[in-house]
Amino acid sequence: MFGISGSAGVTSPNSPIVSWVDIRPGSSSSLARETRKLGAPSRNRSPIQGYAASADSREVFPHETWVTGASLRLGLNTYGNQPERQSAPSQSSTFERHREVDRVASERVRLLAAKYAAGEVSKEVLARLAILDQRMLSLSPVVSLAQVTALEKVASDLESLRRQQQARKARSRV
Amino acid sequence: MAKWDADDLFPLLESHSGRYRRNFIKQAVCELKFPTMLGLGVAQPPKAFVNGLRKKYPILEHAKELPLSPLDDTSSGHVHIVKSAKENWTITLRRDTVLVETQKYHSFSEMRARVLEVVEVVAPLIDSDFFTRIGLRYINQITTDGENPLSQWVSPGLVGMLEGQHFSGVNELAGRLRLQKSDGGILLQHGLKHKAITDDEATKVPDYVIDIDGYRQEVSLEHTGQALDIMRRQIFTMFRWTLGDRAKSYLGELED
Repeated sequence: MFGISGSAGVTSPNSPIVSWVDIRPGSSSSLARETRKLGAPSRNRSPIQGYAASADSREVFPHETWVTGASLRLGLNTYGNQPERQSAPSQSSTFERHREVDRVASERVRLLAAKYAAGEVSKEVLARLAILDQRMLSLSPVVSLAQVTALEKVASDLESLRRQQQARKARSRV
Repeated sequence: MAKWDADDLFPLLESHSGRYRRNFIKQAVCELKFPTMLGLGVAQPPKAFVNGLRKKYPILEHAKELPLSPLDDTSSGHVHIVKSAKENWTITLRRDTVLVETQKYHSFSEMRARVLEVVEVVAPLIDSDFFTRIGLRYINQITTDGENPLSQWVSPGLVGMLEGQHFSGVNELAGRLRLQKSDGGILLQHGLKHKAITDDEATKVPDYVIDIDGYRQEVSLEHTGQALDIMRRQIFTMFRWTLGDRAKSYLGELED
């Protein structure tokens, strides 16, 4: 019956016509997004019976007593798997590829700077960073296939030389 | 057919395509969040955005969001707003969000069509083939006649504690219910909305706000319509459960 806890956000209109004040501890961030409030301002009025508007006509919510726990965490692996769905840049000229690398790197740095400055960031920023990281890897991998091939050839040559040396030593003993 | 775990939060109405002749909707909004594109937060609105929506939304406005703290650069940025000719519909583009909202809601089919049209326009701009979150929210205000008990307008499941207790000076009554799975959920917020503007009206039965907000996470662009459909079914089912008999009579018969 009781499901996953944690904040999943709310759909926020540009100009919300209703303000729900969240009175749970540590939930002040929602207050900043509310702008206008419903409710006509009341005048000096003493309730006789039934319903009575107060001077403060905001709507408030009872404290949730049984929902606790960690907030929803963004799994970067989820987004890390996404980029294969992004279309990879076409095999364009080297110049365009370098320009794309510069553009991606620049956007990545700006987002990282914003992330560092803000401390906490949104899922949207983290998602974009994951996409850019994957794109950088595909555009400008740390180690290229040619480099790996060259290294393997060097290792193979070294192994061959070692065997030849051992063979010469064995012949000289004989 | 896309499916989410959150689709099974509760049993849905069989007549999911039904709608009422009238509605209590004061505001309806669809929020589409995507991986942040800093380039969309510049002062100049994207040409494709303006040109693609110009016919239906000829009014262009501009705003700038201020950060919550001096160090927070992620929330600051320019906001581009286009509105329909009578300003009934508003499309807002931020660096990580596009909003479709209205205060003159007529039908879900119209809302759905407008959202999908906006998705088609912004898809090339957001450089992503998925939304991190899609939200659909309806804020209803049940306008009572001021005379009959509140429990006839709003489900006793929400306001039943007032029945037979002869409370006086009821100033606040509100609640929140959140149902949630890892990929989506629904939030019901409800509470009194006082009519009072004069002393005479102070003791009349107040109106009641039913605010239902559904969402799905990590939705691919091509599944936007399906996500909207299932969220609307859930919201409609929950909304119907919140109604009292008088409210249902006012809204009229369910139409297919």
